[in-house]
Order: sequence, then C-alpha cells, then structure tokens
Amino acid sequence: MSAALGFDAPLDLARMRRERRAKLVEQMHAQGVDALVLLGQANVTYAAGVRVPAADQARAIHRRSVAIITADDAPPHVWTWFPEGAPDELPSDHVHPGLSLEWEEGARQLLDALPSGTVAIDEFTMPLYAVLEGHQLADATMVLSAAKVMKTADELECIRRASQINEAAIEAVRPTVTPGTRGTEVTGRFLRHIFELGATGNSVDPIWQVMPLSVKEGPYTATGDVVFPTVTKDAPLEDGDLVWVDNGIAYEGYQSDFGHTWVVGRDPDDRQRSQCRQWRDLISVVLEATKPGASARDLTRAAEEVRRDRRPWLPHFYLAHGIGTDSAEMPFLGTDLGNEFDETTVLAPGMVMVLEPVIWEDGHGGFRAEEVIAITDAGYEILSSLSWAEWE
Amino acid sequence: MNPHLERVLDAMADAGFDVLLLGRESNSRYVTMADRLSVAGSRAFAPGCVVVRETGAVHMLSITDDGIPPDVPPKNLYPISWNPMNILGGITQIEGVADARTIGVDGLTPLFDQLIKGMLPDVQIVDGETLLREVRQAKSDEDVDAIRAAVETVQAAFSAVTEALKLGVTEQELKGAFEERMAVRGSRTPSFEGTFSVADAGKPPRAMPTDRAIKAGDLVHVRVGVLRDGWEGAIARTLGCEAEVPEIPSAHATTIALAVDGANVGDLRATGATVEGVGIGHEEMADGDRLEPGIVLFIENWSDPVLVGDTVLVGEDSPEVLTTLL
Repeated sequence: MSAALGFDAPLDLARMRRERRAKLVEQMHAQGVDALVLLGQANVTYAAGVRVPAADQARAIHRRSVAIITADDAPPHVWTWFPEGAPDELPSDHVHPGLSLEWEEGARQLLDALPSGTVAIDEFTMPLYAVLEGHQLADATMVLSAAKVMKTADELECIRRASQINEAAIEAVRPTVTPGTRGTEVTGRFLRHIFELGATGNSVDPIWQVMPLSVKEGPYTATGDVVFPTVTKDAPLEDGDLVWVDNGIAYEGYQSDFGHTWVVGRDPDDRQRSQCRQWRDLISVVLEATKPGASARDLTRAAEEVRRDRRPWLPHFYLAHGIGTDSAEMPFLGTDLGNEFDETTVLAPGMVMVLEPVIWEDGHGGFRAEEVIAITDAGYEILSSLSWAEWE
Repeated sequence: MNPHLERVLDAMADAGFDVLLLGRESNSRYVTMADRLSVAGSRAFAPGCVVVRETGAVHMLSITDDGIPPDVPPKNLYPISWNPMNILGGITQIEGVADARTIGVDGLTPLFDQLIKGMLPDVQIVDGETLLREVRQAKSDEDVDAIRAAVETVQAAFSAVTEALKLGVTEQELKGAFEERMAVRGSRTPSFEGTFSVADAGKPPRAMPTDRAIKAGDLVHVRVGVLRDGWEGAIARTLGCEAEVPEIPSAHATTIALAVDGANVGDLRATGATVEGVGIGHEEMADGDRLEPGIVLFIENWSDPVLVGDTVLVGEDSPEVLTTLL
C-alpha cells in the first residue's frame, strides 16, 4: 500500500481561485464580455472552483455543475449536484441546487438567471439551445483560453503535485509489470496507488499499449504512422513487449500527463537504448529553443532539424500541448493547424506544456515519453521527474 | 445489422431525420458498440460519430479500427483534426450528408453551430439527444445480459471494499481497493468515482471521499458503479466498522415494488427515492417516463444513517433486483 504523498511547496487554494477569477475578469473586460455562462466541467472548475467527482461522460453531463461569472467581479453563481464541492468563500445564496439542462424546465431556470449585456457561453445542451433561440450569445472559448493559458504559482503547484502522484504510482507499479501480467491488472494496481497517494480523480483510461515494431504489423492506420493510443487489453504481457505508457490523473482539478516507454521482462537492447538517447537529445534541442518570446514554430523547427526524415511526433497529435484543468488545452504546437498557426503562438511565462515527441524507427519500434515544462521568466522549469534507471 | 443501429435508423425515419451528428460518447457507443478510450468529465460537442439514414452507414472519428466493430469499416473512419472546419469538411463529403435537410445533434457549441450553418446552409438543426434517449431506454434481452455482467463486476469490486474496511483505513484507500478489483474483474473504468464516506449523523452522504480515517463504530456509505463493455452496473450499501448496521429502510422495498410495467418514474420518485436510468452509463429519465419491461433503473434510498441502492430490471408484474449483495 502507498501512503498519501506529502508536499513541501506551499499551496493556497483560495488564492488560486481568486487569482483565476481575476484573470478571467480581466479577459472579459479586454474582450467586451459582461458575463460567462459555463457548462463545461473543466471550465466550471476553473472559473468557480467547484469540485465534482470524476465521472464517465454520460454522468458528468447529466450531473454537471453550471456557473455564471460576471465582469463586475461579484462572486459567481453556481448550480451543483454536489454542494460539498462548492468553495467555502462562496456566499450560500450563490450556491444553487443542480440544474438538469437536459430538460426544458432546467434550461428555462438558467435562462431566467441570464445576466444582461454581452453574454458568452461555452456549450449548449439541446433544450438550452432551444430556449436560447433568438439570443445573441458569444463564444466563451476565447476568454477562457486566454485566461487559462497563463498559470499562477498555485496552479503550477497543483500540476506539480498531480505529476508527483502519477510518478509515484508508476514507481510502485513498474516492478510488477512482468511477463504474464495483464494490462488490466496494471490498470487496477495503478488506480489503487493513485488514490492511496492522494489523487482526487483518474481522468483517462490508463494506457499500456503493446507497440508493434512496424506500422504494418499494427492495427489499421489512417495516417500511415503508428497507431497510438489504443485501449488497454486484457491479454497477458509477453517477455520483450515494448509498452508505451500514457496516464492522466487529477489533483484539485489539475491534470497530470505521464508518458514513458517500458520493455517487459528484460533490459532494453542497444537499439532501444539508442532510440531513448535520441528522444532525450531531441528534448534537449527543443528545450534550448524554449524561452519567453519564442514561437511554437521555433520549437517545432528545432525538432524537425534533428529528424529531417520525418517530423518526430504523431501526425494526428502534436509536438506539445498545454495542460491545466483540461488534459490537453492551449497552447498546441505542431498540430495540423500548420506552421503559420504555430508562428502566431508565442511562449510566455506561466504557460505549461507537455512535450511528447516520438522517435520511431519502422521495423524496430520506437521510444515515446512526456516531459511537462513551465515557461519561466528565465526560460523554463521541468515539472515532471521521469525515471531513467532502466534506460541507463 | 447491429440491432441498436437498426433501432436508431427506424427512429430517424419516424422523426424525419436525415443525419445524426453525435458528440456524446455514450450515444456513439450505443450505435456502434465501439470500444474507444474513455475520458472522465464532460466534453464540448464535436462530432465523433455520424449516422446517415439514406445509406444506413455509420462513420466514426478515428485514425484506426482498433476497438471499432467490423460494421464500421476503415473507409467509414474520418481523421482527427485540430481544425473543426476540417472535421466538418470531412463529414460533408460523406455520402448523404451534403443532401441532408434535417440533421440531429446531441449537443452544440457556438462554434459548431456556426460551422454547420455555414457549411450546410440549407440544413435544419434538430434535437438528436431526445431521439437517442428514447431509443436507448428500452433494453433487449442481450442488453440486459450485458448489464447483468456489469453488476457482477461491481459486486465483485464491492467485496474488495468490505474486505478493506478496517480500523484506520482512509476513505481514499477504500476507493483504491474498489478500483483495483474492478479492473481485474472486467471493467477498466468506473461509471463514476464512488462514494466511500463516513456517515455523519443528520447529514446526507458525502459524494467525494477524503483522507479521513475510519474509526471503530463508524458507518460508511459506499455508492459505486462500473462500466463493463460500455454497460453500467451500480450498487449502494452502508457498511459498519466494528458497528452494527441498522436495517435497510422498508421504504426501499416499497420503491422497488413499483418498478413494473405501466408505472411512471415519478411514482417511484414520489416515495422519496432517487431513480435514474441505467444503460450505456447513466441514462436520464423524466418523471413522466412510463416504465416497461426491459428498462433498467438505479433506485436509491437514504434514511439517515442508511444508504442503499440497487440496479433493478423493470418487469411485467414484478421487478427483478439485479444486484444481490446483502
């Protein structure tokens, strides 16, 4: 059994909520928005500090918390099925019973609470879409992403803690990943450890994908590149299996993103070690270009110069993505939005990114891991702490 | 043809829908029974599955056929893009979409609302969620068997909680014990992260576990659910740590007895119980929904300090309680 993880660095959740809302209000003023109506659970967590139990999407949408944020900086109004998750500082007359936005009645209740002025919304249920017909509503996404993309010190600490819990659970699980172990058993052990260590939720079905050595040995691919990720299978792992790991857990609403490569039952061979070295070298090259004022394109260009034969990341994903209350949020680097889009994304202190390049040598598999970094005034800070013991 | 798809196509014909764009994973899963990676929490609408009435074909957002049944062949997969216009652009190329007059969606964002209206200007956007909710409500025998299997998993995992409940164990550790057993007994993911909370006299059960350690004499509320092959099984019980658990309130049996053909969901809720639909995860039901054999419910009663909940199959004359733990 794992013991709950202790943390040295300070964390002030009330300050974090206050500072997040101040950033939102600043963006609302800048973008001419008087009120935000939020239905997306990561958005409600961010804007109003409301906690809800992690749940499958079907339950999450039917038992969603809803928040209205106004630019006058009054306390938010929230509607929640889990009043125990409302922050202490929220006045009790601002915490309302959960709304069922799947029915017209609930949608009308929210309509009645709609503030005047320019209102922006993040998403609609169909009854809400119907009752709002004729109302001019803006898209809340721009306000939210502009505020969310720069993290405060407390947000960084939450992401650090989420990473530490994820890494500690992996450290506990890794020795048990031996030939004959089933992927689902690894999932079970991992889930037990994250909760013992203090995770508040698991966010993504844990991935332990046995990789093919070549694209043609793998499942059908629409991109021509190797397929990743796929769901965890019940089959026993075999000696020598190459496993790509990808997990995401939550701590106080913030996500971890852990990625690594394992070889089951034996030490990595020389070729695999070389792939790992190439991956680490690639990270070093990308980090050399990582500083405030650099564009996303500066980083993707640095990565491309190391591997001229193929872009060293999965073509349907990215070289890097942001992380916060969503496991993948702005900024995105190296997506199919293209180089011109990447030129317009400029790094700034407070941004947090997950670098996830891939070294793939078709016929010989490949190496993939993930490093979580924060942009600082001086350059960057690495938030993740990957273990390299089995690769050195 | 997969029987779920057949039912959805019939409902589309009755409602006059040409195309369905589905963003909710439970709807996509019902139509296809594809096993895609599950992600917790809500997600803003983006079309992950397209059903075309004219061709009867289903198309899915995926770069691989791993986990996708053969009735959705690789040629019916459309690729992931970070540009929503590309996703929708790909969808408009699907046979039968460009000519569609009526498109049902199960949710929207301001952006997709604009994009759909811009790229398919003659289309009428209608409520596809209600159509799916109604189709999904009645279960076939095969569907019910899948729910029975999920109940088996949730009960096996519940036993791990009973075993772990000892002096000094924390609420969080009980959650860990549950999810570990769940994963080796047929489910990779809970349908919700469960309640494992010490009962405080006079206060309703807390949904979210904490690091509180269990003391002698404590009663502990446990409410858990799993998804197995997409289908949900759930149970709630009150356990004691060196404490006698009071009897299950008789109101619970009263509510369950009402779960028969012809009753309304509201009749059951009028007894004070929480009543929800069970299927591909949580299914929403209105007070006015009429019960018929094959509908599966989660019925929960709380009478301080006892929390109890069961997965119940509506019967013609009498209900069948699928959960069997005492």
